[in-house]
Amino acid sequence: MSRERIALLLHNARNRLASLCPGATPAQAAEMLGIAGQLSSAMALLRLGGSEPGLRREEVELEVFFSDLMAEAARLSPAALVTEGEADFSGNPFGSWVFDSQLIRVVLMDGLMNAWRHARTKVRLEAGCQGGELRFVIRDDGPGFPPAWLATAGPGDAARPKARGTGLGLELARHIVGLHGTGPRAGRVELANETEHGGARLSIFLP
Amino acid sequence: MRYKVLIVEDEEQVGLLVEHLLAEFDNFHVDHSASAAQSIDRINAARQEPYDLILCDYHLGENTNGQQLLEFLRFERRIPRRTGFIMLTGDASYPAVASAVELVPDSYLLKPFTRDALHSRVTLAVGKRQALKSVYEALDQPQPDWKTAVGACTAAIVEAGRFTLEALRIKAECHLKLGNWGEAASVYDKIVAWRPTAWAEVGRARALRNMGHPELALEKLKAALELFPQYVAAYDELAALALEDGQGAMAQEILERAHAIVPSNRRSRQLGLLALDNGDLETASRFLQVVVDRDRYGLMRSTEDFFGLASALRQLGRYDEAFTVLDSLKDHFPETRPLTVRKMAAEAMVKSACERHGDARQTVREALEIRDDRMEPRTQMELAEACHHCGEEEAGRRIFVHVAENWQEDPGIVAQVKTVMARVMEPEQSARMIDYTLQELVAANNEAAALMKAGKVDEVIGKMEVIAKRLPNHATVQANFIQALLVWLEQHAPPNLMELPYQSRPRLYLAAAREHLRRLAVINPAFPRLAPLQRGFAKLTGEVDVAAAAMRAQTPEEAAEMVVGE
Repeated sequence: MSRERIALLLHNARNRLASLCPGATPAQAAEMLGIAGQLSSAMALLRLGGSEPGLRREEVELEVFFSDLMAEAARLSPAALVTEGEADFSGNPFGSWVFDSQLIRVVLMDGLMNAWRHARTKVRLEAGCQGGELRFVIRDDGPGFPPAWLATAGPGDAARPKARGTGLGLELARHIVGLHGTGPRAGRVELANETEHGGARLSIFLP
Repeated sequence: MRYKVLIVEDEEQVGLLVEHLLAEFDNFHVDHSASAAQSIDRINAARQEPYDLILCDYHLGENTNGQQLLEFLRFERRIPRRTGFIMLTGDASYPAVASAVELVPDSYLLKPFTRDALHSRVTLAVGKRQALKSVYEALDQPQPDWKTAVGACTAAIVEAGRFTLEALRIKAECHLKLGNWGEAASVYDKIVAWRPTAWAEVGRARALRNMGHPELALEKLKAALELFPQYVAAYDELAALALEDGQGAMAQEILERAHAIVPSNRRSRQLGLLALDNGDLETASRFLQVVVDRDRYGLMRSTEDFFGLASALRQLGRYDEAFTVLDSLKDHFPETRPLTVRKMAAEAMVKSACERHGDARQTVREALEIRDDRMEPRTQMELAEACHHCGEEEAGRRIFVHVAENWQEDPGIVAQVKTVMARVMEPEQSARMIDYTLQELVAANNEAAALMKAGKVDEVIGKMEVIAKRLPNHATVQANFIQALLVWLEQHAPPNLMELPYQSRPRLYLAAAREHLRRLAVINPAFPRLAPLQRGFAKLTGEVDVAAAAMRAQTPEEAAEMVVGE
């Protein structure tokens, strides 16, 4: 129970910090979002590091989950940015999906915060089901991931400059998403840069 | 249509805020309750026009939470299946509960929440209710119509809407209720093939166990627990498997693991009673004491906790504590006759254990005086056991036989009789006695059936009257007797039957048929032969609601063949 309370405190601290962003200068907002991202990571580590089971898979109504996520994103999005969302779950016959909604929400909010720090004007969150996978994609119109990250499929030691944060959130996101499913059916995180207009694309696939 | 909503929330301001938000969505009729007890009163008062949706705070005080209230309302069928339920909670631990339990609300909402978050959940609950309207109509009848519900589910599945999964789930549950294990397993297979789903994995294991494949069920459950290690229903099913295999200690160990995940009162009780059966008296007294202390004013309080705890304390030699527990029953439960009999039987056992033999025998005799042979089997078996402990062996033996004969159609109860008898008599001798008695009963019933076929209705009535009086709780015997009376009346009654004197033979037979029809409706209102027999009676008398049971689409001919016992 105390672990849950610590997680709740971290959650509230993160949200209160992030909610200050809309009124802050771009530099302050970026710093606040960075700290908020670290609090997100702390929440996830707290859940995963304990003796309790790492994941709590539950039946999640996708439309409700996405609508909650977009509501939180709208509340926390920096004022200078537009945050768009689009979901198409028609590829899923059941309307719901089984995953750890709390942890995946932490991962997605962390991804959004990271995108807000680097976007110039716009961040977009897409969700859908395809080929037996649930997919979330976060796009921004910032400078994109450092090429070294893409080459190593993640933030290797040599490629951890300030350009895109410490990469701890990304490592954790990979770990959490990877816990969903096993072997070839394991969840995965993919990084890419948009070829046409630039910007980063973070994709999360859940089996 | 104006939806009826009940908000169960102890903080008035929060309740009003939720009502205010609801008013922005639609024109709802909203009622408020500040506690679980109040909500039950409201729900009871609204039986004619039940609530469409309940929005419930998780923390309700009085040692009750929203999850307990939900389980109480669903298990006790206090709300129809169509009533939606949304949990509101400020407790970050609730998602852990929701991912572990089998009975979940339609959705939950963590406080503080936004208008949109509430709106999406209300829309979901209302949408489900509309999409599965025909399914719920079949399930919400006084006696759920499982077959019709299966058909309605199939139609919903074919439509492939948003609630297909829920339709599949209900369809599989209906098949389980109907004992169609193969069909249920097939539905669960479809779901699991699409993606791992905790309740479907457990449902499939349940179906496999009932199909006689415990090893397959075990394999599936172990695989399910690797994916859903916190899903307590999987542990319950594993424990059921262990119990069926006679491994009580292992079942207890499994349930202790489940209890560590969700330490609810229901689970503490289950564990305490199993430990009692296993002879692990320390564990039994520990868990049952917790339930008795915590739940004595709660929703799910049960006399079983008190009797179980008293039994454990008696066997541990803690007699004064056992007497105190039994005495406290009167503070928490109405003193009905069956409860008084059970309490006296338990007290007699404690008195006997602390060597107050005369006192014990006197108590058991008093209990025998107020016993009624229609009381439920458990009450009668406890009294029978107490009789054996307190020097009234013959009375005890008669009660055991009476229970076995009356509930001959329920193999579980017959097995229980043998188990309890084996505690106080030589096991083989007691089992033989019960088997012989039941064979005699079947033979007598079969003889009557043969006479019926031969057209000797008078003789049948003579024989069945004796058996029906001796076995007031035996549905088939009651039905056979009623049927013989109706056949005789159809053959012999004049057109002016209802104008004959009350003491005439036809009118006496009618009175007997009416009395036994009512008895049959009490024993089992869903007994398939009840409705056709009622219609046969109505044809003769014009009394259509003699047993107040729903008429089913069966013809009188379906009940015409006398059923022979096994």
